[in-house]
Amino acid sequence: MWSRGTISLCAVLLLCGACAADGDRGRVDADGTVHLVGWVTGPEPSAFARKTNLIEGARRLNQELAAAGDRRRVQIDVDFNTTSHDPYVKKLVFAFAAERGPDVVCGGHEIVGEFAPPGYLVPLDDYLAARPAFRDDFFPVLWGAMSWHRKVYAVPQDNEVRLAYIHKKPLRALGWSEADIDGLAASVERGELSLDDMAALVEKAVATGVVKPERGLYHRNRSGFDWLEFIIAYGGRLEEPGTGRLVLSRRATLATLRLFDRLVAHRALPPGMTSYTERTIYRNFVDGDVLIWLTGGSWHKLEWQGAFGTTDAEFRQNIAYFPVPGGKRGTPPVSVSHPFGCAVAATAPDRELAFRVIQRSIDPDLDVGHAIKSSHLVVRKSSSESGPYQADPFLRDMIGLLKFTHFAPNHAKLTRLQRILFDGIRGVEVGVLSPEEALDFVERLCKARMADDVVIED
Amino acid sequence: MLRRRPWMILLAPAAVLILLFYLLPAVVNLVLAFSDMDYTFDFRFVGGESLVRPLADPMFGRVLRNTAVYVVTTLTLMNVGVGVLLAVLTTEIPDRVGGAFRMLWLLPRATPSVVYVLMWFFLLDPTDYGLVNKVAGALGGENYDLLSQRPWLVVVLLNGCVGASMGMVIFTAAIKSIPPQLMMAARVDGASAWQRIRHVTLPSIAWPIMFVTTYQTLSLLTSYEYILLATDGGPFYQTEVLPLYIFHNAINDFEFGYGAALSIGLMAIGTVLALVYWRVFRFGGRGSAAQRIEVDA
Repeated sequence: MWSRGTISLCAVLLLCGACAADGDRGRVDADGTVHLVGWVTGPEPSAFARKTNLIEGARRLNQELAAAGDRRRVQIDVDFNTTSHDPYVKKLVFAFAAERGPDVVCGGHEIVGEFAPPGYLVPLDDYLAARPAFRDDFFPVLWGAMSWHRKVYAVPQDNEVRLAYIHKKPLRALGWSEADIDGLAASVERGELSLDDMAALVEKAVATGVVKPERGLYHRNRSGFDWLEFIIAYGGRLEEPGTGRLVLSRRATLATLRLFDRLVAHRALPPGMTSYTERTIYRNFVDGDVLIWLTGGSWHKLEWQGAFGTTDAEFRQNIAYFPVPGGKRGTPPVSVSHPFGCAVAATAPDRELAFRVIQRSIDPDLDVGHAIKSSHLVVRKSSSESGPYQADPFLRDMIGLLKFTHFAPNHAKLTRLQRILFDGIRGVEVGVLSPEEALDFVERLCKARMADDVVIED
Repeated sequence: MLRRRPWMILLAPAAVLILLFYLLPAVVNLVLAFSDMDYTFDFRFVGGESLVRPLADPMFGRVLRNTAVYVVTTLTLMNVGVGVLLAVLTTEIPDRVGGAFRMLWLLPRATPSVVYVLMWFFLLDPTDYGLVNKVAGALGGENYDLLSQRPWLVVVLLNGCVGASMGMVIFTAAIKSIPPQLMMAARVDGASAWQRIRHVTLPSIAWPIMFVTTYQTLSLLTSYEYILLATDGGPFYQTEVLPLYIFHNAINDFEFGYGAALSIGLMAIGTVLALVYWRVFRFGGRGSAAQRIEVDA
């Protein structure tokens, strides 16, 4: 029934398919060429240099190898992920489990907490110890964010600051002078403006009709690191230092829940933020219809330039920014940073060369170029002192905010804790739960879903 | 043996498919349900721990209630209710118009689900940018956030507009296969349009209605795609149905063991419902017996 030709064709096609699939994997050729596969994530297009820097790093490394008379060469194929973090992590989980993961994996520092424990990543301490000048040129705090169980698993690639943006148009309509507006960030930094004061300001803007009801303040429409800022601002902690277990701080969580309950009750915040698309959120804020975009990031400035054509001058004229205020007056403001890093997979065909590609991909000029193009922060001290970087007042200000920054713990179940916390906040905002009921819900869900991974404390 | 039982050869391809894609996954799922497998993919046998875990899960009761609400409402109002309505109405009007209308109604089914849900987002955007709010604003109304304030309404409509199209096609085919002399007899007897629908059309499509009811119940029980895209189960678990809850646990939180245990529960519910329908609708005994149709004078 089936001719010999048909069967042969099928066999050839199957073989080609298998070869094509294998072509995606790292390997070493007989001529010494090491093929590496890198996966990086944006998702924003402005962060595309995360990909091109790796390719440039490989090019520079090849020059270095040639100069040293080393016959090895590196060829790297880099895939740039344009979806959000969760699908990217899913892809990595399944790829690593199927032993088809990348050789160089870049992502938010939580990839260390996710993929170091099962042994998918290799510790980089030996490589770093052999290159002290390289290691010591990074802001030391970043190495902590790249570590799990006191071992470093990734090299920082960029950093960011999460902060609140405030639109000056409604602020001026409220009677604020230019001097008041310019002094806002400093006043937050001195602890003179707390989260409660900020809520009162937003409520006043709504009550006086400066902004429409439910347009006082917008926040992120999904789970994420940002929610941890409020826990820290209200005096909570995220991790038990001795054990590395996550912490649910009841008092700080309740204060956070009450804050959002209050904002919804005063019609300062729409109860259904999850039904707002990001584009709507940003457009409303950039148009000056909304007073505060609470869960912003340093990268948003550039994103708005791309999406809405906001120029630098318009940005300076209309938008101010400050770190998330402390929970009480006199307490410091808070920012949670989410540095990106690149790690070497345990399955990489040549781990040392993979590390060296990463090393060269973060040369100071590439570090600065990427930071400016993507509105992120540099990770090397020498980069922060470079002319082009210092010339950008926004990025300079962001570096200044780093003194208030915290890092989320590298724990495999952190995402789950964030999601539970966000669910509690959502429950309060849509009016299904009171803050106290939401706290009870968060606590019960933590116990049911995280068991011994989380410590519940007052 | 094969020569004496040729039906075995005919059934073999289907049997292989069923074995590979139905039975094998079910068996793997059953095995996984006895583990606490997570993102490390390590198989650790935990006995029935995962199977009894839903009892201690604070959200499980709510999820089951949501599932019942979703299936019953979407099924009765949209997939069967609107399906029958569309089929009856579009066969009562000139065929060309009815056909065009049915073709339009099929568009959501032919549209990729992400695009379809995005179109709903454009309609329902809670700010001035949403089409519904634009119209409401032009009429002097205030903005309304349907996705947050009436999530069930959105979920049922969004799913139902797609789901009703299947019923519509099947019921239309059934109506068109009603012998024309029955309709003519009814007309001769002086039956009004409503009497014809009630006493001729509906009894004639009873079997397709039962089939669609059964099929769509089982289909809705396992469907979550549109809910995932539209509300992701929110706001605050208000539209979180069992298959979506399984997805969230197994795929978002990488709790493969627990997800598998929940899937066993879903399979059990589906099986029980299928058996109930089998008995109630008498699928086993329903043959091609002639139906008796009476028309009131």
